[in-house]
Amino acid sequence: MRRIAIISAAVALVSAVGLLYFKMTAFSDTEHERVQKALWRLKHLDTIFNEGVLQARFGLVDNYDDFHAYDEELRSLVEILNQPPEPIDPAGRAAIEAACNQLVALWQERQVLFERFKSQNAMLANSRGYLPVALGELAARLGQVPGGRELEAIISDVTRLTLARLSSPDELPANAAARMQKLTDWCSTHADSPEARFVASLVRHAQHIVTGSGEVDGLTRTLLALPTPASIDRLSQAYDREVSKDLQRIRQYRLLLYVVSFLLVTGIGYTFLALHAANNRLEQRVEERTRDLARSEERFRTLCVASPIGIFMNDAAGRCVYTNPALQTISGIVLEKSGGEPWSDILHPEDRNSVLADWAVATRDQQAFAREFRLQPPQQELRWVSSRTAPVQAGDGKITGFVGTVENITERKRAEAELEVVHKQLVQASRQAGMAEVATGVLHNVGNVLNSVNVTATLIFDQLRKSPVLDLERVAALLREQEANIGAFLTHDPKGQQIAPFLGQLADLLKQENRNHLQEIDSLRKNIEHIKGIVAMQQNYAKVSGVPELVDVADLVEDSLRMNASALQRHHVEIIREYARIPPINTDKHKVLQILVNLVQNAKNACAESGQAGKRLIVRVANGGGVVKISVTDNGIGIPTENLTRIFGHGFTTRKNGHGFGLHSGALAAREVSGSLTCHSDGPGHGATFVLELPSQTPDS
Amino acid sequence: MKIIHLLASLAWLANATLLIQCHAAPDTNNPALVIKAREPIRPIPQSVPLDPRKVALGKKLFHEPMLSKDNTVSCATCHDLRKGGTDQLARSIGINGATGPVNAPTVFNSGFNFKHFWDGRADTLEDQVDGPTQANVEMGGTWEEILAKLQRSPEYVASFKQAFPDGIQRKNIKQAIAEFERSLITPNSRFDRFLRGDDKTLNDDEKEGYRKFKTYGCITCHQGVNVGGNMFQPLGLMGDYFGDRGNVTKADLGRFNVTGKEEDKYLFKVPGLRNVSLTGPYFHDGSAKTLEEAVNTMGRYQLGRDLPPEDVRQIVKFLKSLTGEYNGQTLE
Repeated sequence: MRRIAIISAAVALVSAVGLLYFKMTAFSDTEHERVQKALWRLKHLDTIFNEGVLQARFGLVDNYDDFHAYDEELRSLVEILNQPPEPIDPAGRAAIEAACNQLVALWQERQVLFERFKSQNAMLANSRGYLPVALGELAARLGQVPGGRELEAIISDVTRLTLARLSSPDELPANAAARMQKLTDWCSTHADSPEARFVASLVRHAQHIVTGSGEVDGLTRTLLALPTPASIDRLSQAYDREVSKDLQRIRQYRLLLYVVSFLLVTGIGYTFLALHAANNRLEQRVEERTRDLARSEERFRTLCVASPIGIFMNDAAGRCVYTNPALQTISGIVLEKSGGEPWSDILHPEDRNSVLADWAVATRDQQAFAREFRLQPPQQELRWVSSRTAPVQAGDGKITGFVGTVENITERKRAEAELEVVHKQLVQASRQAGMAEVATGVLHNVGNVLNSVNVTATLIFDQLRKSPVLDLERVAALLREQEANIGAFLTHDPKGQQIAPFLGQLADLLKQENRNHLQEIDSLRKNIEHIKGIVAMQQNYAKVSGVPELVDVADLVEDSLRMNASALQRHHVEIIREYARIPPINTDKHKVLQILVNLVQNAKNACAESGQAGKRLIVRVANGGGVVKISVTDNGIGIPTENLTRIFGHGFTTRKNGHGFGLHSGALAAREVSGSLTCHSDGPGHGATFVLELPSQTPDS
Repeated sequence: MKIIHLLASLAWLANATLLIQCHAAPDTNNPALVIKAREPIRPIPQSVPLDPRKVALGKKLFHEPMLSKDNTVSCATCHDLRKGGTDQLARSIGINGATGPVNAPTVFNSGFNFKHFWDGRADTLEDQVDGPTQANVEMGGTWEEILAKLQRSPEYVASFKQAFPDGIQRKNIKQAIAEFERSLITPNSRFDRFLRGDDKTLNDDEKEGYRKFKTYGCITCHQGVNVGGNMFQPLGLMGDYFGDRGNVTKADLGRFNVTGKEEDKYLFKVPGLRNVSLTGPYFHDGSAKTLEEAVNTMGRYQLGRDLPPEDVRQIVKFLKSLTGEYNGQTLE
């Protein structure tokens, strides 16, 4: 609101100044000068004209051309003056017009008089000029003329008269007519004289001078008496009045102009001061901002200079405007100092085309550019760089340039290469480790079986050590002593008599012993067979999966229990079997057996560690939904909830001498036979259940 | 006091000398430009400032018979530029063979005349155009007719449009013809060359003729650029011209016909004598067939005496040196 008021006031003041100035200059200096010049020239011409009349009167003018020119100029001047400048009011215009008209009327009057004056004056001049000629001619003849003396006297009298008339134009000399008459009379009396013609001519000219000069003088006086100067003065005064009125008006306008100008100047001054103050504030702000900016810039620059990463800036046209020292080191050149696009020259030839294409796309689409490529600066070794650029946008969204980083990743690349080597080694190592793991698995599983083998072997050894075969040796030695009379001995001798029953007893014992041995050896054979299977299975790890075969699940479960039978017996674990009748399934017998052995073993361990009485192991085999479920449930130490998820991880164990492989390999094996191994526990002390699910019909069947 | 006066005089003299030097210096190099001072006759300027478009249009109009009622007479009929700007007849013949009341004066150098017609009834050449075009015995038309005829000509419509913003108008026709007439100047006569300093251009007879022209007082009326044409004079100042001639007509009353004043009876505009050897017959009535006759008549009636034949011969010789050039060609 205030702003509008100020602007309106300023506009009003400026318009007022303009209006006043326009009004002031309406009767401009040039107009004034034009009028004044015309008036001056008018007066001048009037004077010249009058002067010319006088000069003509006294024969000082030899031609009348100039008078015509004066007349024409006078008329044009009056025409000019009769067009008063615009600001003059109607009354003033009327006064000027009246003065002009009066002047024109006077001139017309003068013109008429002057025409007459010219004619008369020319005639007078003619006679005046001719008089001496006529006198001369006459004088030459007078000697021969009879009565010439008298004529001569008359002529000289008339000549004096005319000369007197010419010299004093005001009064006609006394008896002029009478003197002229004498000459005329002479002519009439001497009409037949040859001189009469000359005399008559002389008389006419003399008469003309006498009468004509009076008329010319009268005309001259009338002409000079014409009040043209007064008329011009009136016109001049009319103009002066108007000019002074105009000046008065201009003075008023000027005063007004001063006031308005003062207001305007005051306003401008105030505005200027306000502007100055505002400007100062602005400058201060700008200074602060500049300082901040400089600091920021300094920070940025320091950052840029110190940065190990190359930084560059391009303008919108793609010209490089800044590179930091790091980039100069990396690129080996100072980009902003070399024209054109030399950076493409240092690109590795193999990368050049693709980098430039990417760069072109990025700049065209004004998008970020990020990639790794190789640089081959001149006379320097190849280096890998990673460059990222981003467009810099101005406030209006226009792209003002690009800023980018270039990181020397040669080291990283080298490290990566090294890492790859290491990785390969690691892969190798892990393969070896895997083999070790496999070996561990083999050892573990084989170890489990070897326990049974050992037990069986020990059993056989003990039985054989205590074998009654040795008693048989003693009987044989006794018989060899009594070889001569073996019959007698067997029948008579007390000792001999005992041999037959002994042998019968021994045969029973040996028979029993043989049966036991066979049984143990069969167990041993089975265990060895299992070891063979494990080894074969391990070989299958590295190659293809094991050969699936039709197996009876209950048999497998029994096998696993048998393998752990001694340990279960040792720890007095009661085994409860709940086998559903299910058809044999097609699966990898050894893998499943291995899983089950592990599950039974773990259950046994869990029971053993709980240390409680009534250790129990429930083995269930169930069928349903295309899946055979084998669950092994113990009432051992249980599993904490947090461990339920980790329990199948490699290396997880809760036992001091455990190696955390059993369940891990079990889970893997379950997956390999397209089954699954899960675990459930209600927590520590509540036992645990492991469930192995196997597909009842494998895809192969 | 005397010393001061002397010094002042010296100073004035020095100034005057300086002024003379300043103003005279450029002219002394070209003798043709040095005009003989104190001679009553002034040379014709080499050119006058004019509007060439108006001159061209005026020239066409000047030769245009359409300006006459029956399309037979143009300005040039009586003011033939090949005949010294006259018809070389005592009285001109207008439409229908009518004879004019006075001799047709030359159109050459008419721009230097102070008034026009023998009785000076036109103040300007423009006003003069009204006369012949409307006179029954000359072109006999009316402005309405003339305007209508010109309007019908596309050529004139275009030419006028070019020379005047308001096209074909009565005043524009007059102005164009007047502008053309002002262009009809005949500079470089032998006498003008003499005036400009070339003494040899006149022979002794001619020089003597000029001297006598002055001595007998002819010069008092026949002076200025046009050797006349700037005043009125009575014909028969020293004798009864009309009484001797007899058969006085209205036209013989001269200036009286314009002013009605008794004193203006028999007053005529003094004719200019430029190219006078080509513009006969002479006087308003065309009564003088030859220059010699005209000079004798002048001597008899204006000076009141008979001039000696030798003087007449020399004066005529002088008058013949007044023939100038039009468009660079000496008039014949």
